[in-house]
Amino acid sequence: MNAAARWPLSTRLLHWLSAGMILFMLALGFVMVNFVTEPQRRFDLYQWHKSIGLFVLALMLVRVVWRLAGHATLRATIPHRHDRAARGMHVLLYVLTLALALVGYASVSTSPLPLPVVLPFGFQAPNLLAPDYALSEEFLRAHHIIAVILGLCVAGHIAAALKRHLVDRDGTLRRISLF
Amino acid sequence: MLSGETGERGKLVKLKQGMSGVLCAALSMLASFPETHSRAAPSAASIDPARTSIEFVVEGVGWPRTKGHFSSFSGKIAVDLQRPEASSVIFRVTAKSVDVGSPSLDDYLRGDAFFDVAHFPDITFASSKVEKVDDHHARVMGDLTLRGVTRSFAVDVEVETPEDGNKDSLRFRATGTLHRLEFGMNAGFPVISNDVGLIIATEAEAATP
Repeated sequence: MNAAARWPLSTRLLHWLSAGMILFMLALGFVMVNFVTEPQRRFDLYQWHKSIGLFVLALMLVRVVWRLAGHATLRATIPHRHDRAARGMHVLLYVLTLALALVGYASVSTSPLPLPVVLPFGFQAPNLLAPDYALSEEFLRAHHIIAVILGLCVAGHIAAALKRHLVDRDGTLRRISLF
Repeated sequence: MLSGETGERGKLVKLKQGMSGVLCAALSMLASFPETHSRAAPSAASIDPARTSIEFVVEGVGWPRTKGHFSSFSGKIAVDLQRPEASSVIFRVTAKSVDVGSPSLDDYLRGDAFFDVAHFPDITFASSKVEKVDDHHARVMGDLTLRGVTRSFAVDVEVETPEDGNKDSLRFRATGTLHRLEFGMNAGFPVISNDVGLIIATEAEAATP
């Protein structure tokens, strides 16, 4: 495998940074909702989840721009139909992650509880929508559903990558590897 | 009695200086009762913070029950077992001493969405009426001021004599439900319930006949 066939370093860094953040956020969301019963700890985790969520949203927007700008294109090394499936999955991952973050932000914005989304350097994210309890609950439900679907897609994405690495041995993982 | 008559009078004078109208008038009246052996005015003794707790609990939707307490407060209690209606209580709670076990959540509760401590540093309660229910229960009605809004508020009080045998020392456990919307504390409703349970435990000396 020659080095030129790898994704550009910027693309690889963006990939692994968002991969780590997304997995972390899925796990955090699942744990804080289902297993953390002390309100004080839960409050802190929710606050972190919201702040990190906005960071992931920004990160994904950068990746979309990056991809549309052509920094993330690479000639296919696999059969056409597999490549199309992979690209379809990538688009799905982008769309789901963006939707997850946006719907989460919308739920926070419409919540009757005016809790700031804390950003670095003392900034706060503005509420985009007026408080609306029913709407906020709908957004929250959608947030949970999208999270489950994204989790399944991430699992499919990882399974496909491992299959190509271990079974097809086509060097796919090496193209995205940082090492 | 905690101390001699002079001390009690001194306390009453101090108390009068720092108290609101209704209670002041009530206590002046008490103080002006003839000091007979059978009808001594109940002494208004400061509560002992070490033996007092002010706790609250609030339910949420999709949010665990949140319990907290206030760590800074002062108050006076006058208890007369023979004439429960002559008993009285005042409390002044420092709003910013709210403690739910998380500095970040405490800070949030101190903000304008909830206690707004910058504008309303104190939460106060002054009893206006004490009714005996039975030998171990009473109902205390009064005015509660929260976020600058005063509303009538009542608590049910359980009275116990501590097991150490000191008949004059009484243990109280007051419970009541506060409807926070009445005080303009609307944030988070209905995710966070309107009903806030209050549990106040304290001890006091009863007036001796």
